Amino acid sequence: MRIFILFIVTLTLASAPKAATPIKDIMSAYDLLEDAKREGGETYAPDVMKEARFFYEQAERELKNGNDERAEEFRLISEIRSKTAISISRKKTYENELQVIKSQIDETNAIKKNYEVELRKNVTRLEEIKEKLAISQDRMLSSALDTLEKASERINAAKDVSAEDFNPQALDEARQTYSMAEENLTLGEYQKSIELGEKAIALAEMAYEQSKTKFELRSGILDKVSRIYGAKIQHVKDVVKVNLHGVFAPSGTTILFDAFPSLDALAGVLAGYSNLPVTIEGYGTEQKSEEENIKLGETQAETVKNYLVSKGISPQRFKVMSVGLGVKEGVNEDSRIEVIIHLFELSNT
Amino acid sequence: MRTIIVTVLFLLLSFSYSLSKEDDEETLSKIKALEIELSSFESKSTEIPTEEVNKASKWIEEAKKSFNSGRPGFTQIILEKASYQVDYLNALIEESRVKKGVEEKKEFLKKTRSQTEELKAINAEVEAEINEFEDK
Repeated sequence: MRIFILFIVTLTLASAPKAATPIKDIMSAYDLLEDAKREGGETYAPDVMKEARFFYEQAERELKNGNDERAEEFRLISEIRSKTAISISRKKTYENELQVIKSQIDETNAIKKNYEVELRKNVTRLEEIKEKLAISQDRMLSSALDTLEKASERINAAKDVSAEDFNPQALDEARQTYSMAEENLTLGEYQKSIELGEKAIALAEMAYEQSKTKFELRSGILDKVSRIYGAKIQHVKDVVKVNLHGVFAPSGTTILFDAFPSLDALAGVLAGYSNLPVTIEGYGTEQKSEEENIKLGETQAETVKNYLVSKGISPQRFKVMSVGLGVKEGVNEDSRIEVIIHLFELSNT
Repeated sequence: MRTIIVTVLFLLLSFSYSLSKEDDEETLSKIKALEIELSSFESKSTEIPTEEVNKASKWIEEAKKSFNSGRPGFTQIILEKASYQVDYLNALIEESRVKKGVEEKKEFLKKTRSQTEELKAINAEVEAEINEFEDK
């Protein structure tokens, strides 16, 4: 049957009008064959290339034999096969490129995964650090609050022993340092706050320690002198003042009989604090001139001193002086004796 | 003798006619198959040059005309040409598909590289923050 068909085809082509097929058209098929070779057709589409060459040769043969129409058909088929070979080769080239890209993607994905793992690890680490830091900050805050509370207690303790009287500088410094510690706490500077709080504690403790002895001494003296009949007691900083009225008649220099118990009691108190210096001040009266008052005050103070010395108190402890007319704080308190007990100890020399 | 010759000729003609009818059916079925395949390209891809599709379409039409003109041999050659053209169109579609795949993968690679760089940068920032905390 095929022979019959070929026979019919040959007859048809032979009877068909001969179309002119220029050489340059055949050359176009040759050029396409060369292009297909360059694109790698021999490697990627050898069968198709074989067909392209076959049809090109057929076209050449038919052209030589003067069968232009057949030559044209074979040329066209050769070109189609060459173009097919080019397309297959390009597809293969793309496939090769795809393989390279896929391997690059795999490589990049591996790197990406590593970074992801590392990042996850680092984020966890950072969260842990932040958590620890927050705990540490909480602890610091708590510690700063404790320190400030302790400092406040120490300052109050110093105040309780009248540090304002005995060591006002240390107490003031402690208070100022405490305020600075509070400010730093508000600003979140916990470490600085703790340091300042500790400094305030040290200053308050120093003020406390230095004041405590004098405070106890003063308290003891006050307790005792307050029992002296008719005595008015005052304490200013580190002195205790005992005011005695009616020791002398208004212009006299002889101790009145009623005053002896009070002076004896005072001597008893002074004997208990043998190292403390004492100042005796005599005050005059309005009925006398200033000059007379000075003299009167001196005599009366000296008389009291002598009496106290007669009761066994060392004369070296005393200092006597006259104040003159006794006007104090706007109140006229004339004709009186003021015995000032100093809370600092006498030096041996 | 004449009767014998006439009978033989008649038989040959009858045989030839039956063969020719069988070939016609095969040719028509080929034309139909190519037409169906070609119509599928039109909906399948916009990547194929229209002129190449048109060539196949034109050659199928030529084959039909040639068949109707009673030129079976020429019809076979044109059909073969059209069939190779369809094969070429298939190759173009495949090439286009793989090329598209390459472009997509290139884009994906670019995106992955960019994400990797971003991760690297974030990681460096986190590490710097860790170092800062550790220095404290």
